[in-house]
Amino acid sequence: MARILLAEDEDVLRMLVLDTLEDEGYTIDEATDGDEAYQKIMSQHYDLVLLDYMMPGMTGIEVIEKVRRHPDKQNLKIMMLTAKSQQSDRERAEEIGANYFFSKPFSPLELIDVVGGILSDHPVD
Amino acid sequence: MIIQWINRKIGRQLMASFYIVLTTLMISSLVVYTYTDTKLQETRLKLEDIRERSARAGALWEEWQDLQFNMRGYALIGDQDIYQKMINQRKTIDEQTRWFEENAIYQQGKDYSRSSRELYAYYFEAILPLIQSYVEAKSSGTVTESFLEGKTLTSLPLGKELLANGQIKLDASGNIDVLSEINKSELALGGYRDFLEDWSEKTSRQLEQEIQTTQLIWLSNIIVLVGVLIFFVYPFIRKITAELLSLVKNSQRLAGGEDIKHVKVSGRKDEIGILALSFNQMASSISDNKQHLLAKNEELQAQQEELQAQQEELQAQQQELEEALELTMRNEQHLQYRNDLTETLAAREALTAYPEIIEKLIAITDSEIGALVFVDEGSAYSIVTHGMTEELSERLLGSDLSLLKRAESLKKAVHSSKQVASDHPLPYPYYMYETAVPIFDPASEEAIAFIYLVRYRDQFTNEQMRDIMSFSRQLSLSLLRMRLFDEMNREKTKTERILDSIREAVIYIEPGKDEVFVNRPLYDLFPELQYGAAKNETLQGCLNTIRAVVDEPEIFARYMEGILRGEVPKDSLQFSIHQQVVFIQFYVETIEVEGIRKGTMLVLRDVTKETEMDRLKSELVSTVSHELRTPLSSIYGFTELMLNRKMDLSKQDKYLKTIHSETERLSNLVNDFLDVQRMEARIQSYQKGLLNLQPLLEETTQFYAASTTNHTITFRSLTDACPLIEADEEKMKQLMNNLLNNAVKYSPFGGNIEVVLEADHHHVQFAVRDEGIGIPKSALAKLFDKFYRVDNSDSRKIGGTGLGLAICKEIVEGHDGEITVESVEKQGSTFTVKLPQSVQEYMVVPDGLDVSEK
Repeated sequence: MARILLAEDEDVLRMLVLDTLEDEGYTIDEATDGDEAYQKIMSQHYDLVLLDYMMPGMTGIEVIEKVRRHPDKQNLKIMMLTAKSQQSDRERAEEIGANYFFSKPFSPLELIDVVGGILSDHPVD
Repeated sequence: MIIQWINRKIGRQLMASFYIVLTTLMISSLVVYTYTDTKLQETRLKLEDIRERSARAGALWEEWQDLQFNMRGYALIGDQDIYQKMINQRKTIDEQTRWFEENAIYQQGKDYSRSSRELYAYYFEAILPLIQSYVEAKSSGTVTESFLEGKTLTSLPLGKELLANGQIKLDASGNIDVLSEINKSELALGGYRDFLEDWSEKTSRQLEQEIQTTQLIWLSNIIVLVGVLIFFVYPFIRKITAELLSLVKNSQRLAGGEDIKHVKVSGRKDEIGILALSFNQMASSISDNKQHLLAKNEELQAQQEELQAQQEELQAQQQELEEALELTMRNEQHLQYRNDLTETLAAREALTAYPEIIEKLIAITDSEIGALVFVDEGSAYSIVTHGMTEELSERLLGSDLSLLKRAESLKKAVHSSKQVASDHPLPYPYYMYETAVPIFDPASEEAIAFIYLVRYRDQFTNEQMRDIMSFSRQLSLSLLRMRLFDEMNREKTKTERILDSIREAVIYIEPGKDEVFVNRPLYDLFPELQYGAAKNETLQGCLNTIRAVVDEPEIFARYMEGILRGEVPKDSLQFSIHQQVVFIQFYVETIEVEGIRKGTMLVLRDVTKETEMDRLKSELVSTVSHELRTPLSSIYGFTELMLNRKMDLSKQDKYLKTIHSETERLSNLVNDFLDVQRMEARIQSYQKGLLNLQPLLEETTQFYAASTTNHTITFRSLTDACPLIEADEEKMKQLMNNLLNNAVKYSPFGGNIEVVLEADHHHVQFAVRDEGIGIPKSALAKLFDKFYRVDNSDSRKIGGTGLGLAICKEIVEGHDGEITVESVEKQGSTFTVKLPQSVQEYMVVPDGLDVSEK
């Protein structure tokens, strides 16, 4: 089954996403800030990374920027979980290398669909 | 010929003398050398000759010795070989003796050759035949002795014969005398040898002396030549130098301007001669030129004198002209004054022109002193004088009998003349002529002013009086105009003041005019326009200055272009200047008078504050929406999970608890946010009253002490009676709650929390000190900012909205106090609040009244 890294600083939200996806059978790894997320991405293999936009330490954007500098991380799928839904922020993230976006507050059921779609290479828009 | 050739050049002269000396030196050296050489040769030959003679003499002597020896041997042995040898020796001795006989030069040599010849004759003619006969006798046995006996020899027949002939002699012992002959010869040889040695020595000595003499002669020769050289060349050079010096001196004199007639030349044909000749020619040429120039100079002087005479004539003419011109100018001046005065009257717009007017009047009318007197309201006068003393003016205005009063009552020009005392400004008595001319208001025919003039010498002429009258009429009109103008100015100033007093900056323009009117606020808005600078009075100057500081000049220029074309844009333009430091709203109003458009008002309003407010508002909205989304997300998500999934009770319980706490967080956030919003918008009104902080602090401390188990919370007061402050009690409670709540929250492992109250003369201050996780240094500066939360692993575990301290700060600042923080990470933090004491404390509050218990 697919391995997913979840980087989120808010405990409750991390718990929500974790419970939602674990029940679907995914293996979930957790990171509580940007630095931890970067360390984990660089040391392990994940099929998908869910990255919070606003995090202490490195922000989600900074993590993507650093990760994408490595040639073997070019094809890593990254989805940004963001409360910031402004268009300009999205454009910036997309430019840097985020593949998908998911806005807060979100529906867990919808998250299941989206994640499933991405991992089966039929992303739900 | 050659001498002439040599004389032509100094170099040649010098070289010639040098060559002569050198040649002489060489010849004398050659002579000395040859002489010495010859002498040496001679002496050598002589010495060789002496050596040869000496050697020959020695050889001969040795031969003799040998012969003697041989003879003895022969006499003893009788050997024929020895005999033969002696015969040979005879030949040699003969030859050598003959050489001496032929070659002897000196007496001694001749002596030696003679003695040798004698010995030869004795030995070979007497002794040898005797010895031969002895040997024959011995061989025939006649004689039998082994040794030769002298007697035997003489006894032989030949011996007897020889003795008889006297060819041989006997010595004292009766033997044949051989030795005396030999000795004689040896003696001669010795004498010869001595002589030769002497001779050789003498010759050598002589040679030495001769050579020395020669060297002396040669040396003295050189000395003499050097002497000649010195004694001959030195005067020669001296002479040349002296002549050159004379030429140099003369040249200097010539250069100095003296006349040099002729320099004596010593008949030389060399360079000096030529130089002297040239110099003479030059000197005479210069002298000629000088004379020529002198003549010219005299001529020129004569011409100059002539010119001077002409010039004087011209000056005289010029003077005449100047006088005429002066007259004209005086007339012109008079005319100028009149024109000036007329102009002044026509153009001047304020009271400042009056002194000038009276001064000009005096000048035109040839008066001495004068005044303009104005009739103010209520028959009071005000006076502008020229040249008048205080006393005079007082007399003019005060006395009822003064000319002024008469003119006022008669309503026409009056004159007077009187003799003035000698103590008057003039040292001698003079008549003083006065005139007072009333100026009437053209409307009311009332006298509104007077012209008063005084002159001393003569009466005013009719012409002057006409001037004065005409000016009085002009003055009447100008005064009226001045009054109107003053009124207008007052109105204008009023309008300006009104425009200056409004907040908006205003530029008023009229179509086709480059002049603009601007108000004070414009200068406040654009300090670049520098108040009072001339360029701001033109539209272009003003707009260019503004455009230079606008952040987006193109947009501003486009908007302005439309306005200048006469358009009135419906929408206002908002722009910023100085890199968004100031924001300005720009709009246009037209000014219409009786339905006709007269001009356009450009209004610039400083909307920096409003813009800043808008920006803050939108920033706040975005931050708050972000903060709200997290709790909303969890509530939304967990409820959806609960609605759509089957789950056990413990999970349901966990989810519900999370939903509950997130809802609480949401509620707190909204409350805090509303607080901050109220405070920021300054709508927060504080219900301030006199308040004693001590009981309030004690109460709050007790409440928190009771609600926690692993913290020790204590209160301590360092002041006996806590001074009162003016404060809102509810807000103070909120402040204390926030600080204590933080202290507990950020000491997750328990510890002491202390609240300390202090006071000085002006302030009351309390501090909340904890032993918690502390605050990193980098975070201290932003700690009181809205939504700021310390970002590290310790603090992240502790929830919060990031608004608590911002609210604290707002409350404290709302009470004119200050809040500060000191902290060491992992050791604890201290928050200190300092509030001013109430100034009315002692006046209002009676002793012992506890105002906090309301």
